[in-house]
Amino acid sequence: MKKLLALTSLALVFTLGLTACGSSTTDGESDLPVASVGLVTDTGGINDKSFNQGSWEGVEAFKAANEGVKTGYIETKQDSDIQPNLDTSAAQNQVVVAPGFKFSEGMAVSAQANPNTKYIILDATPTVNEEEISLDNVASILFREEQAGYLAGVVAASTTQKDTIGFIGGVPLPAVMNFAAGYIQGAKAVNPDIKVDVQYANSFTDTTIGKQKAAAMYASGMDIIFVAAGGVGTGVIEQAKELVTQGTDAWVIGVDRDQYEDGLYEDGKSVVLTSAVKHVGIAVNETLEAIKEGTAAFGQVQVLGINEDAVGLPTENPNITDQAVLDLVGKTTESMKSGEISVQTSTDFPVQEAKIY
Amino acid sequence: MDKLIARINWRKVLIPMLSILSAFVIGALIIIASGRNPIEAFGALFSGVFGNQYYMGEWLFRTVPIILTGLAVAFAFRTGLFNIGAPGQLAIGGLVAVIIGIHVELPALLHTTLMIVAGGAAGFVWGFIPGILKARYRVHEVVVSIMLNYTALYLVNYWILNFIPNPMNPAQSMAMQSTATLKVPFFTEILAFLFPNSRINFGIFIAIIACIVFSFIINKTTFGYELRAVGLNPSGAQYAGMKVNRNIALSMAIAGVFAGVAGAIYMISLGKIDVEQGLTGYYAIGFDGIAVALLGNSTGVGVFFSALLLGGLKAGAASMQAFAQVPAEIVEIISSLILLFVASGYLFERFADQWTLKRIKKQRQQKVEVSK
Repeated sequence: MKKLLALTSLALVFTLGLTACGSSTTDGESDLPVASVGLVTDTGGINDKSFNQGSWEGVEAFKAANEGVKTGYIETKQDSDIQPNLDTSAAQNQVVVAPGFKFSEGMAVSAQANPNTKYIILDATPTVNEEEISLDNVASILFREEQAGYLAGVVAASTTQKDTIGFIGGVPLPAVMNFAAGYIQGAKAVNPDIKVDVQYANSFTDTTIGKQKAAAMYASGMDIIFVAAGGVGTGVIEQAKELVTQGTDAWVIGVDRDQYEDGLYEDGKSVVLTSAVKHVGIAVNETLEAIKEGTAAFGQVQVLGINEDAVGLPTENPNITDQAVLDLVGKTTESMKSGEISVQTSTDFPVQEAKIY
Repeated sequence: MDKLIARINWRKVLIPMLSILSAFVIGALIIIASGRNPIEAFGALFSGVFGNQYYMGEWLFRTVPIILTGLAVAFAFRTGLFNIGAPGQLAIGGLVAVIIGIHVELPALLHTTLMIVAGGAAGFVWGFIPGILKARYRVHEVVVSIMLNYTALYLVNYWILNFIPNPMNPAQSMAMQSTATLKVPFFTEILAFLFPNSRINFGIFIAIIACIVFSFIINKTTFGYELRAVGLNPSGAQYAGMKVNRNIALSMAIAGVFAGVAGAIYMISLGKIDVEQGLTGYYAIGFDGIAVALLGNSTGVGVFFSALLLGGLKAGAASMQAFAQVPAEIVEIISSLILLFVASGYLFERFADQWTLKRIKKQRQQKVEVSK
């Protein structure tokens, strides 16, 4: 009986202590329009060297430029936690940033339940029962991946020594297929006879599958693979490094951010030829600024492309040694900006199937 | 009341309690070491579970499948078997339920019932395989069920990608019929009143019923008595004329039913099943079952409360990260520590027993000396 009493009182003290502290963590509302920004990652985590990390850098850049802004993130451990995590973040922050297509359904639910919170969603729009909806507290940002893919295709076709180049995509979603569509169009613009082998890993995380697919492609006589598949790319880069150290030509074109550093092997060289970049962080930062100024486009879908400097190739490409190729990239970029070259998205240029285009 | 207190086996309760307390203390030390405030962190964790009715609803929602996989592991434990195959049984149960949810047309209540029953049946089959292999050929159930976890993973992925892909996102299943729902009238209204906006549904009642069924089978039936006998001493059970092999096979299969039902309920709640790249995501719920069964000492009531604790830790983790900037992984550390302490707690118990024994002997000796 004594033990029971001691235990209960201990538990009680502990519980009371915790509740007391719990209430002290909630802050009062601030006067700033964007006083606190929360980010919810997908299962890739905050240090994924890709989408989540890029978006977080955008949030941090906004924090650095605006004194007094608080930021915080939640890493999602299971896809089914996405919606409650958005809700939790919304309870604390005025603006919630959600990077990636996986948020489309959870976003629709959470944004309707928290009408006073503003949401930024990248690469997707709020979706209910497979239909896109517009909510007036959600700003959707899409990117013209096909434009970055087009430039990658131009570089690949003018660099390759072979007649076929490769593409490995993650899950065939619009954002991934757009890269493929642009890649094929860009390559064919340089060399109409070139063939593009399109494959899908059906994953954004499985490095083994990336390595296997890359091994098969390089073995079949390709020397350049463009990989738009998140973590799968790590496997592709690994395979390319192995081949290069054995003396075979193997290039990788990275995606989302400049992956040159990821491709470094022994003597300071990299297997990453160039990267089809999406400036996610810049887009997030600019949208946050727009919300602060009251000019953000809520309830709308904003599509950012090469004209907004939101997509393209990295400014430095140490592996593109041929000045003619660089000139061609520059010229193509200008033609895209002026509208002389218009690149079709995957809607008009379907690349859903894994086959040779 | 005093009678009730006297009936509680204090050791059995004290070890998990002390384990939980020590795990939180060490967790706090780790948080301090990483330069953050543990009181703030645990406060945020706590308010992420009890902060409002929504959080409480989400906590219970998260607990439901953990209760069921906990029962799945505990049931096999009682027969002396280690069911590490709960993740696979859960996934197969979920897949079968989703297939029925997509392809079969039935009135609402009937449809959901069929999905849950079929999910349980699929779990039965997935559990029966290691069970019968153990019973017939003495193949270790751990080896077989681990392999079956991967078989389930790739089978489920193959099925989703090839037969039921979602046109918007091929890495998840297409939408089910609207009749496939756990929003049972009357109960839904009560739950919506108690826990507004949260995803909690009728599944919580099924989980509670499952705990009662578990306790009933184990404690009140001849079959359950035989299962426990086989678990405590297979040779003895055999000598007493029990069908040991039949009990081993059935025990694994029934364990599979609990996990299969967990999968069915979870997928019905989410409305879809996802492609996973490894034994993560919903497969992790199967592994959580092991922790819950150990912590709950493989009893129905124990599993229920342990699942509430683990579910609470997982539910509060997001708030802890959002409000106190403490990585959600700290929750994983705490729950692993709890498990470690519980497992080694039984070792301490042994030491304590020996110590008491020695003390009693000493006292007796002293008494003898005094009487001399």
